[in-house]
Amino acid sequence: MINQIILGLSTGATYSLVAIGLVMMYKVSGVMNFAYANMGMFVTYLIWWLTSSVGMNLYVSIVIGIIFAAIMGVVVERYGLRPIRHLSSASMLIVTFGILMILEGLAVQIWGTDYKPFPELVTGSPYVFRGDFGIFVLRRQDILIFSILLGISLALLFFTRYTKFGIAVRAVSENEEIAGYMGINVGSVLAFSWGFGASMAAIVGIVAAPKVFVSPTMLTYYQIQGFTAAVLGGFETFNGAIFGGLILGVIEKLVGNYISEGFKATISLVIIIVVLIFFPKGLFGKNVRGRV
Amino acid sequence: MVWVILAIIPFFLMNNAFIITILTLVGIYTIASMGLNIIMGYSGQISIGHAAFMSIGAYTSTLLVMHYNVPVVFGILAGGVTAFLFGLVIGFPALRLSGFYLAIATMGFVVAIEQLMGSLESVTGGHAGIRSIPFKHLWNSDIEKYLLVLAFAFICYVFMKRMINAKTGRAWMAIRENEIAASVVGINTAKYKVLAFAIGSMMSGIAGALYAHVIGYIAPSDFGLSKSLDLLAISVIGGMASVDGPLYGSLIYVALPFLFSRTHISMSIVFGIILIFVVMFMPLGISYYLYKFRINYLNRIVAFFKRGRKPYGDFVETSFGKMHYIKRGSGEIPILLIHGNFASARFFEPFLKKLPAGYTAYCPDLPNFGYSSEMPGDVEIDKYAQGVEEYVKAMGLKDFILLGHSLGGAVAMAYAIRNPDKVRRLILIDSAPVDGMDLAEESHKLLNMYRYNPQIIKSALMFNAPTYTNEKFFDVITSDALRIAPKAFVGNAVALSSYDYTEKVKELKIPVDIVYGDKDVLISSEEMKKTAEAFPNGKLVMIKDVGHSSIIESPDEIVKLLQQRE
Amino acid sequence: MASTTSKNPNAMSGDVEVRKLQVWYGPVHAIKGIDLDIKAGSITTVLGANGAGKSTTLKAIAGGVKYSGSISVGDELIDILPVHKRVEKGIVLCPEGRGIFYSMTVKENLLAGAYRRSKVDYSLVFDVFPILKDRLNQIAGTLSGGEQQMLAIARALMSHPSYLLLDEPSLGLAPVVIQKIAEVIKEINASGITVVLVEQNTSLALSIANYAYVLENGKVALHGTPSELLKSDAIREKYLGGVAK
Repeated sequence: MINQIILGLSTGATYSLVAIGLVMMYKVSGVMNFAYANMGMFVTYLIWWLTSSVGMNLYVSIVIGIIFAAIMGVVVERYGLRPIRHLSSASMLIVTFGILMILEGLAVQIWGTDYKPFPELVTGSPYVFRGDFGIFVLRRQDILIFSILLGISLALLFFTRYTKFGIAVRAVSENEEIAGYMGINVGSVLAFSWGFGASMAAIVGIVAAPKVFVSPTMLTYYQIQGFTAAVLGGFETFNGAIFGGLILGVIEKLVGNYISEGFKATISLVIIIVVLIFFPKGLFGKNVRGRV
Repeated sequence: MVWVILAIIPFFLMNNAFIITILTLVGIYTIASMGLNIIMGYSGQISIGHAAFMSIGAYTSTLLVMHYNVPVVFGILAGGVTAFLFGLVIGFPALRLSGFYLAIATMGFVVAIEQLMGSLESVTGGHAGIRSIPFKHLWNSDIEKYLLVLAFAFICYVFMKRMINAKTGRAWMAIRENEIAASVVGINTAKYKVLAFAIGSMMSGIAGALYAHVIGYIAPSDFGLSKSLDLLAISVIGGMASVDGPLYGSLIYVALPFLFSRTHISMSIVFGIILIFVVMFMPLGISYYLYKFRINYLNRIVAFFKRGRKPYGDFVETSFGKMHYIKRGSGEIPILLIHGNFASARFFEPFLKKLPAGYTAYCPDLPNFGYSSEMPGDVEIDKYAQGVEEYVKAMGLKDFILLGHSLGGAVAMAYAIRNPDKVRRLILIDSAPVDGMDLAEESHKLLNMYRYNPQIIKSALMFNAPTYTNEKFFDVITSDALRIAPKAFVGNAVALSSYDYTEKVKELKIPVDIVYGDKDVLISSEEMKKTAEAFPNGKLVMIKDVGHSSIIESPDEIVKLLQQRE
Repeated sequence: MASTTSKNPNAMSGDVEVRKLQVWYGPVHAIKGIDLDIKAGSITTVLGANGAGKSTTLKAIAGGVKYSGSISVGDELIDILPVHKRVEKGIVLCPEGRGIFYSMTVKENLLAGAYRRSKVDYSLVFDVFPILKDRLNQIAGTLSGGEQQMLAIARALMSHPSYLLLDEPSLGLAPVVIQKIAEVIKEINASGITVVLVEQNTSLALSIANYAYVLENGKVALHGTPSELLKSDAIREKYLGGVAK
């Protein structure tokens, strides 16, 4: 049982990472990025290509990939979204759909639809703990993902609480107009939020790739789960996103054991609807703010 | 009718089954997209799960036809009904969600349905799908498939148009614009939103079922998130809040691969770029810009042909050019009738038919109108009065009854003020008020649109004569109206707002009848009362149940009035 | 008030001249051409009824709305400068309705206000609002209305402005608190900061201002010193409820 929970937390941690990226982009720019998964997917392809065709070192490729992701995020925000911010959120949403389509098309165009393998970042045998409570297994990949999540969470915490720019991000999230009057360059914050989000998507791609292989739709399911996690967490706070993801992972694992795999997306759908209707603030959210 | 042409096309393409199938596909996507337009464009709810309903419709119909030998048409209808029910099911929770959250939920829905269909292997054949879906045909399966799709498209189109133009459509649009305001006004927003979802889903279900039978093979992945996004793109590109947008969007969607067949660019890229471009620069979609193009350019050609060319009366020379007029009757009492805006001399024909013996009627085309010459310089009511003076002089009229309709009423007032000795009696029919008629500046652009839009002119004329329904008459008047001098379209409106004869008419001692129909939308009864009171010898006459054109709507009443005072 | 503050090296100085200012909100012509002269070091107040365009005027000076016309400080035109650059130059807006960041602590709010400063210096703020010293870690949303208003002004002061634009600071506050705010404004002005005060509370504004503009429907209806305006019957009737001379 406890192993199931650990595995659930492990997948959940990935969902948390997705949710963190989504929440950052939404809080700051007011747009839910439906092209998130494809951004991550595209960068993962890029990294795969760098390592397999160009022969670069895996870690160097990863760094290049993440930088590329950040730039891509900034460019999309600056040139795709900012010009139409004043129009409506629906228009911005549709632009993200367009980006989704373009990225998927590009990936298929350049690399085809075959599944590509992606190397594990950590290899080696899992850690096994024996004791009165039974056996519990901690795979290295699980440790990796927990570490990444922990690292990013702490970094975010530090960033938003103790750095000037972090405070600027919170200010813009709360009230963009007034943040501007403080002298904050709102444009930079917007660009940052998308650069960060895209980078998170890339990280998720890198972490998930060994398991799901690199393909044009590799992260679609992760995006859905990421949205579900964010909804559970209230779409307001990073803490909510983190816990939402972890909880979702566990639920999914436990449910998956009793109900067949094919119903996982249905469960998510039900969760989304139930939470949004009965807990509009999410399970952790505080106040409901409507973005008009 | 366009539809008849569409029905005949395939018979000319019999050798090209491929093109027929393409057109059939366009029809299928048009139907699905019409449904999405109802949900998104008209009732303002976002859905990126629309393909799920296609899936539901497709599988329902396929299973019924394949396992229970149900005829295809019934299968399709069943698919539509099932999709309708699912639409209701989604429509209710959708009430509580909006904007982004609804997008998330509908995205979850389409993926859930795809997964579900894929996992119910025993029923749906799993992810591999169902092959060899039968389509019983009599002669040529491609043509019959096409006609079947066309038939459903026609039904959906008519149905959608009806709904949009009726109370339902107005409720949807009110909700879309401002839901709170709509509910305050008493619209049951819940009912209409759910209804929109259900109907939109039903159309998608029908499209999905048609897809199954036309293509012959379905799999859950055919109706996944990417198909949903394709449908959304079709809707947006075509024009979300229109009934014909889906057709344009579908045409582009289906035709795109062929335009790019030489290159190897993935269609997703192109379609995605088009989508972004449309959202950023043409947010109302292609149908809107086509409509504007039609209005601004194509209609000009129509206007050119509809413009009247043959004068039907006589001419008289004046100092500024010719004046065209008609004369009726040979009685002792002359009556001079002055027409209104967008009209001409023969506007009075229905009345002239009833002209009693003892009167001779003279109806000129005012300068700038019909076959009379243009009056140089800016348009002013006083200048029109001058034109009438010229006409009177040329015709040698005196001691006549002066009758003016609408703008002609203002001209009649101006003339009577300037030449009181010539007029024995003034009759003003639905006339512009004594102190002018203000028209907002924003309307000026609209007025210039009339220049090249015979349809709009005709509609306006008919709207202002609600109880006179002889369409051919209005066609004729419209052809005259297309001859109006370009400067007068806005010029008349400006002229109408630039005069005030309240003081001047105080001097007028002659009897004045101010006649108006109580259903006149352009001029209020207060304005008519004010006008009647301005004349020392003025009498207000109201005619019941007619609009702004009482002289042709109830000519008998006018004749009665004419003979009353004499 | 002793201010041992580090001066803002980028700050502008001089009179503020607003010429032919026009602002459109879509089809609505909110400001139809106004001229203002705000003397350096003064408290200039902009009065008027709701919707007259007062807030919009401040926002235009701060750079938060698009406008046509020209605004210059000293002899420099600032029209091309975006909002954050104007803050750097010492023009800071304290928005209507407090506009503090309710979910952040007092300290974080102040830090946000000091965004463009390289060194964070609380001394000016603690001089004027000593009460905030004890509340640094309190969540701003839990402060009282008056405290929130003080935080808003304090936050604006953190950037060491030369020109402080205040939008209706007295809104929704008890008379006692309003008095305190008035004193604070005078104190701030005394240290050399030019204050442009938008107010609906006309008597408050006229009691502390050196010069006043009255806006009506997007245009300047009247302007003058408070004593001049108080003599005007129109002012007394419309904005002071017909108070006797």
